[in-house]
Amino acid sequence: MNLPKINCGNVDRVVRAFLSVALIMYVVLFWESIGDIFLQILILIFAIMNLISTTIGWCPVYQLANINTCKTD
Amino acid sequence: MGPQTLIKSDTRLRRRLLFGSVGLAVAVSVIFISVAYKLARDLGETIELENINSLATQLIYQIPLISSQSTKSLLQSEQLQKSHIFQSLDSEVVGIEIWFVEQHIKLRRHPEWTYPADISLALGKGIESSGFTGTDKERLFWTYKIDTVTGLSVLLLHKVNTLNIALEYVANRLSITAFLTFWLAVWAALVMSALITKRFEQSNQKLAYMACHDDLTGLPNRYFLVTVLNDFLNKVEAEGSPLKHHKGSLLLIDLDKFKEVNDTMGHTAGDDLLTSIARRLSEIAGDKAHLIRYGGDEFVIWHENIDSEEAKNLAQDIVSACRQPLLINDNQFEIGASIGIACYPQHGTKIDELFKRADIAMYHAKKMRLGYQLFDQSLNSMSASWVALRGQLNGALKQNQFVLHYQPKVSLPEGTIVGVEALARWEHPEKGLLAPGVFIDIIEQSAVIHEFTRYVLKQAIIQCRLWLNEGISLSVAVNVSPYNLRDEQFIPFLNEQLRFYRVPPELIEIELTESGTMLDLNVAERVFPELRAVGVKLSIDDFGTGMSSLAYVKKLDVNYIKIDRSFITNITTDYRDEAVIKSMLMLCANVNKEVIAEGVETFEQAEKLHALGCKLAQGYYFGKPMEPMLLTPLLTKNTSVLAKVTQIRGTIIN
Repeated sequence: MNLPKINCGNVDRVVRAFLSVALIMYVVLFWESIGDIFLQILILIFAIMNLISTTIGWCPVYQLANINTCKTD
Repeated sequence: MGPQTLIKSDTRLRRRLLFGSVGLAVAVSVIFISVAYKLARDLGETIELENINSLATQLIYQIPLISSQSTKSLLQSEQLQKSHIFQSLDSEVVGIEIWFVEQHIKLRRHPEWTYPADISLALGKGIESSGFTGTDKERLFWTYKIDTVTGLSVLLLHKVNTLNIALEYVANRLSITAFLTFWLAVWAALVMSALITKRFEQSNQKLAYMACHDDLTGLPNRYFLVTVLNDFLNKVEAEGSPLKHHKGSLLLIDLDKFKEVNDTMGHTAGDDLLTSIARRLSEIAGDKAHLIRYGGDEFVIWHENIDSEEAKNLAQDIVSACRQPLLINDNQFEIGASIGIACYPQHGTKIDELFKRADIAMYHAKKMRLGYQLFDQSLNSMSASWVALRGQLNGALKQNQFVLHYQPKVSLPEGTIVGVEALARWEHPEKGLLAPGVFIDIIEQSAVIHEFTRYVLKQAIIQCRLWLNEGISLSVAVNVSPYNLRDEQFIPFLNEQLRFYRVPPELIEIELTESGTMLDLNVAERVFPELRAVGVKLSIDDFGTGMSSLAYVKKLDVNYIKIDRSFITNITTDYRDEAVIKSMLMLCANVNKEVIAEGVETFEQAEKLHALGCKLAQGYYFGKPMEPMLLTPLLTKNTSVLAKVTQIRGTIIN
C-alpha cells in the first residue's frame, strides 16, 4: 500500500499543532459560554483533524489542491 | 524540449481564484454576522419592551391601591419604596417617576437626570408612548403610561440587557461559526482553484500541443521546427564559439507520386499513406533528430550534430525506406521521396537560408530523379529559377500570363490543315516567353494543376469559337495531364464551357500522354467513356514511349494515336524506326484508329510517312506553334502549308 506522501512543511505543522491545541483548550475551558453542542463538536472535529494532519504530515485538502509546503521538495 | 514549454503556463489564475474565494467567504461571514446580530437584538428588544409595558400597566393599577391603604391621601415616596410591589422590582428598573394630582415622585433615579427630547415631548403632551434613550454608558428603554380614570401617570426607565446578551451570543457562537465557515471556504477555494487551474492547464497544454503538432501524423509541425531552430541558433550565439564548431543538417523530404494516391484512392488512403510514411521516417530519424511534417506531403528532419556526409547517409536510408512498397486498402503502392539537404553552417546560418537551400536541393533531386541532393552553389543558378517559378505560378495564373500557341496538324498528302494542337506558353514578365518544358513539371507538382488545365481548356474553346465566327471549323487538341482525369469537376467544366461558347464538342480533342503509369491507365479507362459521352474526340499522345503502349491501345477507346517524335526523327535512316512505324500503322488500322505522326521536321520524313500510309502529320516542317493571329491567315488562305504538301504530292506523283 502506498503511504500518502508528506505534504505539510515543518512551519505548517507547528502552526497546525498550535491551532489545534488552542481550539481544544478553548472548547474545554469555555464549554459553557459556547453553549451550543453542535458548534462544540464542529470545533473539536476541526481541531482533531488538524492534529492528525500535524502528526502524519499529510493534509487531504493539500493533496486535493495539489499544495505542498515542504521546503525540501 | 516538449511543446508544453513553448507556451508558458499562467500561475496568476490560481492566486486570483484563491483570493477571490477567500474574499467572498469573508464578505459572506461579515454579512451573516451583522444580520444575525441585528436579528438577535431586535428580537430581544421587542420582548423586553413588551415586558416593561406590562410592568408599567401593573404599576398604574397597584399605586392607587397602595395610596388608599395609607392614612394620608397623598402618596409618600417612602411608603411606596417600602411597599411590596416596589420591593419586588428588579434592579434593571433604574428609574420610576409617578405623577398623581399635584405630586411628582421620583424613585430609583438620580434627581438631576434630565429628560431627552422624546420623553419631554410625551410628558408635555400627556401621551402614552415608549422608546429607547441612552447615555454614553448605557442604553435605556422608557415607557410612559397614563391611567385616565385616576389621572395617575408613570414613567419607567429600564436598562437594556438584550444588547449585551446579543453581543455575547455573537461573540461566542457566531464568531465560531464564522471561523469554521471561513476555514471551510478556504479549503473549498484551495481545492476548486486547484481543479480549475488543473483543467485550465490541461486545455492549455492541449492547445500548445495542437499548435505545435500535426493532427494526422502526430508529428511536430512547422511552428515547432522554427522554435527548435531558433533555440539552436540562439544557443550557438550564446556560446560564442566559432560557427565551424557547430553542425546540423536540415533534410527537406518531398514524397513523389503522393498526389496520385491521394487523387485516385481518396484522401483517406492518402492520409493512411502519410501516417505510414511518418512512422517509417521517425524510425529512421531516431530520437536525436526532430522529424516535422512541414505540410502536405513534405517532411523535414532537423538533426543537430550530423555533418553533410552523415546527412547523406540518412537521406539514402530514407529514400530506400520510402521506396519499399506500402500496403494501403489492399493495394500496394510504391512511392518515392526526393530529399534536399542543407547543412549548418556551410549552407546557411539563418533559418530562411537553410530552408531555401534545402528546397533548391530538393527540387534538383526531384527533377533529376536523384533521390537526394546535398545543396551545392552550382545548384543555385539552376534550380533557383525553378523554385522562383514555382513561387510565381499562382500570380501568373491570376494575371493570365499563360497564352496558347497553336501548331497545325495536316492531312497527307493534300496538306490541308485539319486541326491544331494548343500548346501553353508562359509570357513571363522578366524571362520572356517560356516553353512548357520549363514549367509543366512545376505545375504538375503543384496544387494549381487542375486550375491550369481548365484555364487552357477554356482558352482553347474560346479560340475555337473565334474561328467559328470567322467561318473556320477547326479541331483544337488540348493536352491534359493524367492528374486532370482525377479532377471530378473536369468533365462538368468541359460541358459547361462547350455549351456557353456554343462550340460543337467534336471540335475539341483531348490528348492524354501515354507516359503515365498503369494507375493513370486505370483512371483513363474509367474517365474516357465519360468524355466520349460529352462528344469530344480523344487521342493518345507520345505513343510508344510508355511502358504499356499496347495496353493503352487495347483499353482506351480513342480516335487518334499520336506517334512520338522519337520514332520519326530517324525514320529515313534507321530501318528499325521504319519497321516500328509500319507496325504501328498496321496495328492502328486494324483497331480502327487514326495515326498522327508527331515531330515531322523535314520533307524527307513527310514523304516517308506518306509512303508508309500515314495520313496525318504534325511538326515544324508544316508549321511551328504560333499565335492565333499568325495562324488564322493560313487557315483562310492555305498558303505556306499547302506549298510544302504540294511538293510532297509532286514528288510522289513523279
